[in-house]
Amino acid sequence: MVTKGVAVAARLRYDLLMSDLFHRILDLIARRQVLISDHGYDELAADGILIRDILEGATEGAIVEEYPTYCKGPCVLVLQKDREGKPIHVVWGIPNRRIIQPSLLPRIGLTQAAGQTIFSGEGHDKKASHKVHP
Amino acid sequence: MTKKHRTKFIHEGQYAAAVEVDWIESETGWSPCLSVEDAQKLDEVREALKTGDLKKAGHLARVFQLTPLAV
Repeated sequence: MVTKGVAVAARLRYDLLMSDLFHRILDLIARRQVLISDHGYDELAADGILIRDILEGATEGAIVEEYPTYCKGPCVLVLQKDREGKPIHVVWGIPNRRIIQPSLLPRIGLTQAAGQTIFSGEGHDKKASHKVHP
Repeated sequence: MTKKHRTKFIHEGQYAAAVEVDWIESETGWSPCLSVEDAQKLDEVREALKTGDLKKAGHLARVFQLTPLAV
């Protein structure tokens, strides 16, 4: 009973942390404080994904998993859709240092520093497999 | 953060374009990065090349036509 209560509390705390991180990221995106890693852009372009689809689709995204202890800063894996409704897995992150923008990192990185968000999009997910390495 | 001027090349079909952008470098471990504006400029050039709108692409970048060489 006690164990179950602890587990529920831990889960609740985890959910709150997750939503807090994603809300911070959405706020940064709304202010267009986003950077896109050069390598990440190349990954998006190779899959024919446009930056505006990534930015506009974030608000409707569903959190899949979070990486709160990633060495470059906390990241979150989000399942989004492009304008055609195709699924895109995106990793958004907030760099540890002080920078104030989200970065878009198509499977590979957007950049920003403390207060920034990093976006990492994996591209269209044909098999719904998550291959994100923030 | 520091900015360095760079030229990125885009290839679509028989065309290529040289797009001028700024690389944004920092000590966050994620760099180098592009601004949203530069990334969207790259997207616009890419889309213009795809649709054959060379006039639009030419406004944003230097456009080249690729010619196979008979070696």
